Formats: sequence, C-alpha cells, structure tokens
Amino acid sequence: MPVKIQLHEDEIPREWYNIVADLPHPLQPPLHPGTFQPIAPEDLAPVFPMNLIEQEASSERWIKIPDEVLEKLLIWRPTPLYRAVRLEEHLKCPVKIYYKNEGVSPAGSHKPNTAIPQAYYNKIFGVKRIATETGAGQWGSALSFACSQFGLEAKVYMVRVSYEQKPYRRLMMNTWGATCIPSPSTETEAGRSILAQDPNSPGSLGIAISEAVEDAVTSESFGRPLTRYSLGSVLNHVLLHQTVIGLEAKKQLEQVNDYPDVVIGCAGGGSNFAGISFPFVRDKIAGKKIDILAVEPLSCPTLTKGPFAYDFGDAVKMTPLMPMYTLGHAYVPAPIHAGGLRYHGMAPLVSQLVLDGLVEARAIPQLETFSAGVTWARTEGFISAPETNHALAAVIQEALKAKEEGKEKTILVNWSGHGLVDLAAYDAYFQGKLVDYEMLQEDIDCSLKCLEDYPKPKM
Amino acid sequence: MTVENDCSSLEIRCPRLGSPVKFSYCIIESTGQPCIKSVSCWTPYFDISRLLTEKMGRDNFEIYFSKEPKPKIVTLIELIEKAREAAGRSKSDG
Repeated sequence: MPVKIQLHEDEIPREWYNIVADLPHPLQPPLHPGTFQPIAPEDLAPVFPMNLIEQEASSERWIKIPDEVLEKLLIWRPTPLYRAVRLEEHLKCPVKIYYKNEGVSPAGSHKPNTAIPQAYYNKIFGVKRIATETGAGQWGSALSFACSQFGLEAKVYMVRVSYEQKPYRRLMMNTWGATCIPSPSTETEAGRSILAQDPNSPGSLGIAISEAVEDAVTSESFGRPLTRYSLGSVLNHVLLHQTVIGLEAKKQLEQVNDYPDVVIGCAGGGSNFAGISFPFVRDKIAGKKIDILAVEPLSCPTLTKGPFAYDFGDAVKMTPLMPMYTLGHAYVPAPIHAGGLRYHGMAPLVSQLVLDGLVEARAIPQLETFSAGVTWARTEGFISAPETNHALAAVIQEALKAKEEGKEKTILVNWSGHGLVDLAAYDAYFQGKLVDYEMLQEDIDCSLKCLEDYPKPKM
Repeated sequence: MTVENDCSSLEIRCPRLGSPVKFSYCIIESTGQPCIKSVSCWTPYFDISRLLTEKMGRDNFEIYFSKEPKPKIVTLIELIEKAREAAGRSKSDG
C-alpha cells in the first residue's frame, strides 16, 4: 500500500475545470450598485486585467492552462496524494483517508495555485505592479512569491494588528522582494482618513482592501507603474485556478483504483474547498453518490456531546444551532444562523452549491479543530495551518461516523497548508487559552466597558 | 473554567485575519459597527447577542446581523468609485 501517490510532471492537468458550465442553477450576475444593471467587464477594468475578467465571467467548462503558468506550477506540482495510514491506525475506523498535500508549495499553502496564474495574466496584459491586501499574510506571501517569478512588483497592505503580531509571513514577502506595509497606511486616502480619526487604528481587512484597490485605481494618475489589484479567494477565476488540486487527486486515486465517498475541505472564502471538491461536484451533478463537505469555523456553545451536533445540514435551515444557546439567554435571531456558508465572505459558487444541496456546510468549533490538528501532527507528522484543522476535524468526525454506522468509507481531504508560521495559535491551545469557558458576570461587566460609548448603527 | 478579570485576556483567533484579536477589536470596526462575525465568534464565551441587542436596539441588531452580504464584485465596484473620488480630491488639494 503506497503512502504517497505521485503523478509525473507530464501528468499535471493542462486545463482548469470551470464548474459554472455545470451548475444546475446558474449564478445570478451581480448588479452594478449605481446602475442596477449587470456588472460589465469594463466596470472591473480598473482593478483586473481583461484576460482575468474574461475568466471571471466565463462559462466554458475547460480553460487551457498556459504553458508559462504550467512551467511555474511545476516548481511544486503535481503535489503528492498521501494515504493517512497512521491516522487510520490511530482512529481504528473502517475508513481509508487520503490527503492532498498542498503545503509543499513555496509559500506553504494552496494559495500559489492562483497567485501564479494571476501574476502571469497581469504580466502579459502589461501590468507592472500588483497591489493586494492580506490578513495574517498567507495570501500576501503567495502573491509575493508569484510576482517574483514573473518580475512584477508586489505591494501588500497587511492589516496592522497582524503585521505587528506575525512578522514571519511579512519577512517571507520581503524575501520575495515585495513591499509589505501595515494598513491603515499614510499612502492612500483611505488609510489617511482612518489614521486621522484614530492614529492607533489596528486596521481591518476592509480598510486594507480599500487601500489596495485605491493603490491600483490611482496608479496611473499618480505616476506609479501600471498597477492592478489581486484577490486570493471568493472570485470565480480564483476558484477556477484551484481546481488543479481536485483534478490531480482524481488521477492519483485512479492509480490505486479508488474513489472517495466523502470529499472534505475547509472553507473560509472557498478557494481551497473549491480546489479539491469541484471536479468531484461535477461527478455528483452527473449522478455519482458522494458526500462533499465544506467546513467552516464555528464558535458557538458546544453543549451537546455528539460530534455531529454542529452540522448545519441545509444552508437554508435555521434550527440546528439553536439548542446550543443555554448560557442564560433565550434570544438569538434565527437569521444569523441560517446556514453559515451563505453569509459573509464565502464564494458565491460555493454558496450556490450549498443551496443546491450538492455541498453540505458543516461548522466546527475551534477547540475541536485544534484537537484534530494535534492528533494529525502526532500521527501523520505534519503540523497543519489552523484553517486546515477544520477539515481534519471533519475527517475525524466522518471516520467515527463510519465506525458507528459500520460502513467502510474512503475519505479525501485537502491538506491546504502547513502551520509552521502559526505556532503561536498552537501555543495558545496548549496553554488552555482556547478552552471554551463560560464567562463570569464580572468578566462580562469588564467586557461591557468597551461598549459604553458604542454608537448605534445608522440603518 | 473562568478567565482572569481582565479584558486583555479576552482574545480569540479571528477567522478572517487568521490571527488572535481582542474583543474590543471585534466589537467596533472602522465603520463604527461590530464585525459581522462577532456574534458567531464570541457566543461561546458570553451572551454577546444580548449585549449587542441592548446596545444597538433589537431591530437594528436583527437588521444588521441578518442582512445578506454584498457580492465581492459589488464591493470592488464601490471601492473603485471611492478610490476615484479620493484621487480627485487629492489632485484638487495638491
């Protein structure tokens, strides 16, 4: 039984899979907020090169991967598919667990799968410089690497609170030649206006995005090299580029005459989940029986013991989380919990698949995810990124479920990145800082102090 | 388990940023409103829904936290417009 299932370099996928071609219900085109007409390609031209805009709007099922992109992807692709034999032995469940190791990329995650083509398409469009935002730096470092491969300048606006806490990814960006500055910065109107209100602002992703977009939009009028903006998740073309993961995994499983019963990926913005799952969703649309799980963070009370109690099921159903609220209050508006994934920050394509019943959204609390990450590290050896731990927790849930049901199952999971620059999060877990607790009234009173001057939102 | 009687101890890992943040970071963003994920992130620790309902008013709370997100593309279009306006102001000031 092989532990690593490899593809030769000449077996790397030559086309990306575009799930838009196979959606049972087409996505509604987003409307321009000013005209209420569908957004036209030229509306996005100030931030993206037209070749990427065409991909964003494309409904072609297969899109050729340019040779120049393949050449760069070959630095780390095809990635190995592993059989998690040590975890299987540890769990003693009737399952075969395969994982796609995306942590072998130069930036340590799946993100370069789209950073490379985005940099390439910008380059051939004549763009000289790319601006982006980053939270803790995973995307910023991936784009910095990609820009260095194509001789582009990279400017990364990193949310200040992360910039100060997480020096290592910033240093990775610098090593690849990118300029990384804390956001809010004094370099944009958006940043200056925030700093004028609060010179010590810790920043936010919203501010950082505003700065990066402004940088791109104003580049020509302020004499900077032609600049465009780049996003590492959510958009259709980003998800498209990630499908190399699932396409490779299918070929690798064919080598061992296997096919998954369950495909699992963590879903923040949806790109790594899309990467592993979309080629299998295509099979499901065609009638294949397969469960596909998008796992997202859940930070809700864990008052039920069963590991499947956190299952949202259908995205439009509202009730599963409600019994968890027993901390002394009775009121939580149901719409807040109406299906997690279709809310803020999730890719429209993934949300649509959840609504169509092709993908199941599952939410797992952080304590369980770190426990899974530690189990993984102590069996398989690799230390996972905290986001990846969500998927691993779902793997363990599925394995235990198979044991409970007495069914043999094959599970495929996307191991989307290593956690070697996230060890502080593991430290917090080991120190008990992440343990779920019920706050005492004095703690609540203390927390309330920061709400004293809380302004009422304008609606 | 309890926490120290110190607000600074109230930290969680922000799923958007991928790094730890304090409660005060989540509760008021640059828009003057709480992070849209604040309820789901902090509910394990205390009854944040009740607190925000008291602060925002029940109707505002429900409207704010149940509103559909804007598609990312729409957000980008809005930011492009803002950036153009900002550039125009900078040029006229400068």
